[in-house]
Amino acid sequence: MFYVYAIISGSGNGPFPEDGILPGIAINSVKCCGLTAIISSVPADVFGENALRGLLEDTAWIKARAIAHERVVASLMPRHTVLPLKFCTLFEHLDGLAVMIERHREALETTLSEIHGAWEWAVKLFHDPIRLRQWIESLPQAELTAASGRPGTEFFARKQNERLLVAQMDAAIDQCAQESHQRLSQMARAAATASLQSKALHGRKDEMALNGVYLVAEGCEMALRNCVQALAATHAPHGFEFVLTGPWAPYNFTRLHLGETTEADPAAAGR
Amino acid sequence: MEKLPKPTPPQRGGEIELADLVDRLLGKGVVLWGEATISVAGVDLVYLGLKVLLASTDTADRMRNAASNHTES
Repeated sequence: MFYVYAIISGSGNGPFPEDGILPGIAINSVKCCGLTAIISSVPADVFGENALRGLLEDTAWIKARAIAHERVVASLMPRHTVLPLKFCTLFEHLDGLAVMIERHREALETTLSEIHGAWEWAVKLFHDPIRLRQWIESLPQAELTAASGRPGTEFFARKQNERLLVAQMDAAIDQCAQESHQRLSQMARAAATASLQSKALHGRKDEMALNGVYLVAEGCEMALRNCVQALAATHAPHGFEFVLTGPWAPYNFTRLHLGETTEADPAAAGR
Repeated sequence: MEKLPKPTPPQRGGEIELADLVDRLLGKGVVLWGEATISVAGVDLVYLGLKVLLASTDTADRMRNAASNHTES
């Protein structure tokens, strides 16, 4: 049984890291139609369908395997154009893998050429509601209803002003997210927005307002960094924070779906 | 080519890193599905479970607004 990490263009000779998806499991390359699959031979008592189903309920196991998988993919990045495969892509035989690569060679090569010489970078935008509120409150507020001194009116004026403030904060967050994404996209060959992560997932106290992903050519990384710095300089005083991560294998720009679902579901077929 | 400063490695082991990793490995990547492929359906189910954490509704709406204003290139 074979675990497939990635497909790369040309031939992929090592050196590979010592450990593959499991400790002590070697990494190999298999050539097929001018492409190379990076694989490990894995034991069926771990990756067989029944065993795997049980293990996939174990979050700690998934985390450890995800980190191991990513380590292999990252090791390929300095020397190859890398088409990263979905976690736990497993083949019974190498023949079956070769058939798939041969059948989808054109789509794989097209995608490889699209991502050649570029990597995925992610920019997350967070906002601190308290600091953002302080900034908005410090702005001249022409629209705010003046308190008249009568108790009932004052109560409604306060509620009205609070609603207005919340709307202004929302607008400021939207504007910052959109402007940032637009400017970062100009540094990229392609750009997209990934799902926002909840606090439970990203683990910060601030709210995420943008989860942008950018396919950036190797020569343009400095420009991207400078752009992030410039955005931070503009928006940090208002409670915004930018977090840049990368380089990643271009997971968000290689979303091919190659397989037998193509007839039933045309939307899932290729791009 | 001009020598670039060493890129910041993704924050290995940090919370952001792990969330990003799971989102990419389980949620994205090329799907290669043939006769000899072992079922990856389990992976999709695991990801769906994790996805409950991945997007909170309130902020997801905001992102949709931002995304609709800027066509992906």
